[in-house]
Amino acid sequence: MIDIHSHILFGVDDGAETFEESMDLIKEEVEKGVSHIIFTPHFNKRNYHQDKDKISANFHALKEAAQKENLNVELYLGNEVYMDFNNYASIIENGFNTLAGSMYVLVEFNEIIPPENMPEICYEINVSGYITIIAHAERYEILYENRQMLRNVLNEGAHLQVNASSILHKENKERNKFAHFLLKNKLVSFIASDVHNTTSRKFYLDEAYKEVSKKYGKNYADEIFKLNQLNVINKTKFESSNYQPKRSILSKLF
Amino acid sequence: MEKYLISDNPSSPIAEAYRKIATNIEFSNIDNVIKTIMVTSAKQDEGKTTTICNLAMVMTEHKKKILLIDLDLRKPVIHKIFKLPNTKGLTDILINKDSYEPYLNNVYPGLDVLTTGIIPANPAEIINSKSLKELIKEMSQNYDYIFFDTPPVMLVSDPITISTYADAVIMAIEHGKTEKDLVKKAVESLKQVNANIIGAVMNNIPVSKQSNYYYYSSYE
Repeated sequence: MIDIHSHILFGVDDGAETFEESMDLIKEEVEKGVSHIIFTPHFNKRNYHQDKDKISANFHALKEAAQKENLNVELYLGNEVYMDFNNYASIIENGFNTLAGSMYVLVEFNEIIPPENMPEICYEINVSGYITIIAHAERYEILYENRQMLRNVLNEGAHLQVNASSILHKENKERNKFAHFLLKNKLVSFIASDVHNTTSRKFYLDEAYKEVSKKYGKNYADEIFKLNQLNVINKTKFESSNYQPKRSILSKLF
Repeated sequence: MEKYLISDNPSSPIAEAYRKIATNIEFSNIDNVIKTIMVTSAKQDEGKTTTICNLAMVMTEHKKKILLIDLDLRKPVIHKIFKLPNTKGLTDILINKDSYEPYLNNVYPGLDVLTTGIIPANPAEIINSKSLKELIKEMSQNYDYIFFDTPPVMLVSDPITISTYADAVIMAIEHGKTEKDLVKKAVESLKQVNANIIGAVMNNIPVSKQSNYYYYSSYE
């Protein structure tokens, strides 16, 4: 498995606090079958100041330690980018870490008041040369209630990521229901851990993998726990095989 | 995108049909009284935007300088057709009182596009504003034709307002979809404000109903 959404990097956001905690989390992921991990500290969210030097230093400390301990895992950097409904343009312009240096960018929105212009934001990210991955898509109830908006977001080429914990009833009922709706309709491109610590927001990828294989088939499980993620690591584009975007407006011109 | 029209399929029957419309506009405008042309429709999804983009493109073949402005502040799509960002555009020029040149996107030789920019909460006010009219006047000195994409007539009042300062109006009608009465009503409301309707473009006509001319040009 490959984990593209984690807050394992210590001391930079609400995830792991210490080097030791980070190492424990990495070891747990490896034990449970994860071969590649992307650290995705929050970007532009609340008051997590982006200290680039600290992120880089802590990242290299972990990488070195993992090598020394012969952990069979590849570590990468990324960000979970918080997109404001009104100043997304400057965020896109100013730059952030894409996932493992690819064109994929992990994006989150306000959970309480998700932006109604979510499709437009996805369009702008797209037209700037990135590919949007919406982090924990199951949290945005507006996409569940407003299917047209869900379609519009997918039409803009966004991929949906769902948290392992939501599949397993670990989060609230609504999220669980929406997560399974998305899985049933095969609209999910990625499952990730979004792990923050070893106590409250834990790693559940292995259990989630079992659940998804059992309910939706092993092929789909492999696709959304590993194969799609390989496209991110390898910096290749892929289209979600399960969603047919509507005919583009372009094709109407001549 | 641009290849789609000129280099990929310059002799397609549809391209020819648009050229014919462009020529007709030119003929009816020998004295250059028409500078600004708006394209609208009675309701949504009648091919209004497709029509305006293609028209603007074939117009450049007449060695004309064309500007296409997205005045559909309700549901803008021009930027999507040309794959342009829409984080800056018309509304920024008006709000910041900026000069317009930096906001233009040259999408095709002879064709510039001005996107809406971030959509404001008060589109009707902007459409009605003196600053917009002055901006259009200023821009029209640098272009032979300026095209306006607008919302549908039966949906909001914006296109009626725009028709009072556009020199000409073209209606896009989708064949077999829009009720005659609805088109009539739309035309009536435009005429009430003395809009100069110079013609209509019918989209999506089934091949079997097209004239022999089209059959002929599709034999190649």
